[in-house]
Amino acid sequence: MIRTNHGRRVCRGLAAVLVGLTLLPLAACEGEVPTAKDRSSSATPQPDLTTQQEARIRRSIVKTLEQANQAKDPAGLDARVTGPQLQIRSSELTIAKSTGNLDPKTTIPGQIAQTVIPGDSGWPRSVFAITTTTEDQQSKRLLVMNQASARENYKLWGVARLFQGAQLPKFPVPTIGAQMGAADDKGLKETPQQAVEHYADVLQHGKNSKYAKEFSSDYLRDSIGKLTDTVQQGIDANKGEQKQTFTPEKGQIRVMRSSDGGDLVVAQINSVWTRKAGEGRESLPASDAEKALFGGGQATSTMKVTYVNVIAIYVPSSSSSDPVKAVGAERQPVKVEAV
Amino acid sequence: MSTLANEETGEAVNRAPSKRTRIMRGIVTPTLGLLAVACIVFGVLNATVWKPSGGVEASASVESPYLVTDPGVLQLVDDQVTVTARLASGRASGVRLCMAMGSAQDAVGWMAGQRYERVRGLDGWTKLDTASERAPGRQAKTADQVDFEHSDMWRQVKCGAGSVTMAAEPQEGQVAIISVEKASGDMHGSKAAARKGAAKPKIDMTMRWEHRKVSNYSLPLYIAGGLLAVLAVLSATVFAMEPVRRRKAGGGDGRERPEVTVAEAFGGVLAPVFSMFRRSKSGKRHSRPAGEGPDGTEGRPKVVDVSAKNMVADQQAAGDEATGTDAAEPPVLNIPSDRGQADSRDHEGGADRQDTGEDMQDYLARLADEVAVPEGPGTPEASHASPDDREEEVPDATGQAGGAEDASADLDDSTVGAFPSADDGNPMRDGMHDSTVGAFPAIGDDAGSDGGLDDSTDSGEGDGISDETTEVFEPEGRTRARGLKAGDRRSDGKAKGGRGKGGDR
Repeated sequence: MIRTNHGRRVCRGLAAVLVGLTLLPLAACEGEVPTAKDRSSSATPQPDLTTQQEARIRRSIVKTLEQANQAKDPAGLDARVTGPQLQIRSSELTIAKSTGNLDPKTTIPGQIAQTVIPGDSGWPRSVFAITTTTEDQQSKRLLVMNQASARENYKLWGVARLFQGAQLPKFPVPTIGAQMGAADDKGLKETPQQAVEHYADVLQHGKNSKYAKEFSSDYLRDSIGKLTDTVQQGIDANKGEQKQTFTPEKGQIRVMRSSDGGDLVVAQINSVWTRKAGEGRESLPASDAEKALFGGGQATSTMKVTYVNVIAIYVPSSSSSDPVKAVGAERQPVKVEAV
Repeated sequence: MSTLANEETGEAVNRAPSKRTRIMRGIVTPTLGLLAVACIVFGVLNATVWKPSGGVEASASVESPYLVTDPGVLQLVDDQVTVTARLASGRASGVRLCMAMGSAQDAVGWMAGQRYERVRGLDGWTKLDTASERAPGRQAKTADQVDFEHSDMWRQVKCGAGSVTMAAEPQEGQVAIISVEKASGDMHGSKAAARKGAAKPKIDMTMRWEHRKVSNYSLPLYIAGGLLAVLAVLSATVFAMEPVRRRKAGGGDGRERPEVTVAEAFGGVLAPVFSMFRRSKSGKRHSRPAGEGPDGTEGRPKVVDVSAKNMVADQQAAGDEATGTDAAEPPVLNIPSDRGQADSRDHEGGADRQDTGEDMQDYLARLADEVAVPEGPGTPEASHASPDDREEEVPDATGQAGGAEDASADLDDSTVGAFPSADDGNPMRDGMHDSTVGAFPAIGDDAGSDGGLDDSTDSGEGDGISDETTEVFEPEGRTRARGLKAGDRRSDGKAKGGRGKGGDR
């Protein structure tokens, strides 16, 4: 009995050993073929551009601008410049060609203090960049670079010179990716489109605007107000009249959502300044720029100057106690005509 | 019986090891040894002959102007990859091949609305799995479109005439996009050819990874082999032995006998608390010797009630040891202090008095024998205490410890008088009374200060009871002759207590 059991045990043991031995060689295989599902990342949203890509794009833009500056010819600008900036820059170059000097305000520093890269997957896409101050201590510039579609490259769409002491909101770091906004974003003090329209009204009517209380005072309002008053004195002297109208340009608005729930809005507001000289006098260009743009045209009693204004407004969230405020602007006459 | 059992177990012990040892050494050990050797051998083979190959190369051939890898495909085998794309038609004029690394959404956006081939993964170790897809969306019709090579979207881009190779370490989510582009600048003659070529060109794509991290299959086998060898050795030696019975500690009962039981410990803690409450009721407790607890269990630590500590009693104890004649001291000394102080002290004084009562009796008896003085004036004084004593006969020493003025004064006298000599009958006593009594107030309080005066007043009161008192005190001598009685002891105690009681007035 004992022997039989013993023998059975031995046989079982040997069988187990043999099974183990036959299984061992399988360990020598290379393993299963990996599949993409094993290695693919979870859909963490990536920024549209790396900081290196953004720097490369900006360098390309600046290079295009410098080439145009050199030639004082806006001919090759549209490869990297578009929108209101294209109009402004073209005007500046025309003026430069006429006066021989480029306005210092056209300087765009090569270094940036901050870049805001969205992670949105569709098009158009905007990238905001804030440069450092210029060499001659001019204020920082807010650059808006836009990619209209996948097959187009980024172009400089708008530049706004930031007001002194203006506080910009915070944005996510470029490695995380920010979020673009829309013109009709909710949850703010007012939609970005409304903010632009109301600000245009404030620029036009000044203190008398019904939206004047919505906005805190800023440099653009003050400077336009002062300029209008100055011109008004002259116009009063010869019994003329002047009128400025500010009209937001349709579709020319770019919005970036900040980290604190507000929106940074950059939009184009066109303005037309009509100055009529009374008593049969001629209405002449009011500045060197206007003069340069006017060129050798024949002045009449009425002069109509078209300005392209780019304004940067920060619209806080509806729960914030801060007012809507303009943080930067650019203003450039683009057309002067005697009518 | 036990020896028989021992013999049997002894035999069993002699028989079983051999069987066990045989099994262990004869079967288990060789088996384990064989397995260990096999593991080592296979480990060596895995390290040499069966070592996994270093590189993986997979390819595919597609007919499409675009070829895009799925996210994650580039990093399938290793982080670094070399992608090669070749036009099947070779270097064709008017077309060129471009390859770029970018995000999947950018690649799809670039191909919006167009058909493309996507590489989904590996189909075996040498083939790529591809599928045809149409990109969503529509191409924007703008004039400002750039060519593939100059798009801002790609992280890396490379173009070649007939083939292009790119080595990259792509980040997560990055894809490779291969596009057959019109060769720029070659627009004129080969326009048609370019268009035709770009429509459905045949692309051969190869992806190559190098195994930088090769799985080490030999190491686990080495480890397993080592463990099996150790097991084999153990099975031949330790496991082949019979488990040894553990000896029991102690004598059959391994439990330790605790020095103090839990009940005793609790009792010892609570006893003084209870005894404090019960002092007024019975004096029996206090007749116990100091070394015993309430249960009378030996070995319990003596619980010392600090508040009940009686320095006088301690002195008496020390005095007892030293002289043996001052047995009467503590009671006397206690009395004045009792008058003005806590009952507990009196209590203890009473206890001490109880304890030293016998000693005092002996001492007084001796004195009585030596002196043989009839009841003296001290007795009337001492008699004051008697009514109190009698009243207090049953009650405990609290009453006795009450600190009665008269009685205590008288008793003080007697005991004080005991200094020079013991008994009431001592004529010297009175004189001594005065002096010693007078001396006492310094120690005692106001009650005792007028001890002498008290004596006089007391004696007035006590006249009527003098006989009884005399009887109370006298028996000390008689007691001695007759031998000590419990009642006498009690009377002594009472006498002492009576002092206290008398002071209640």
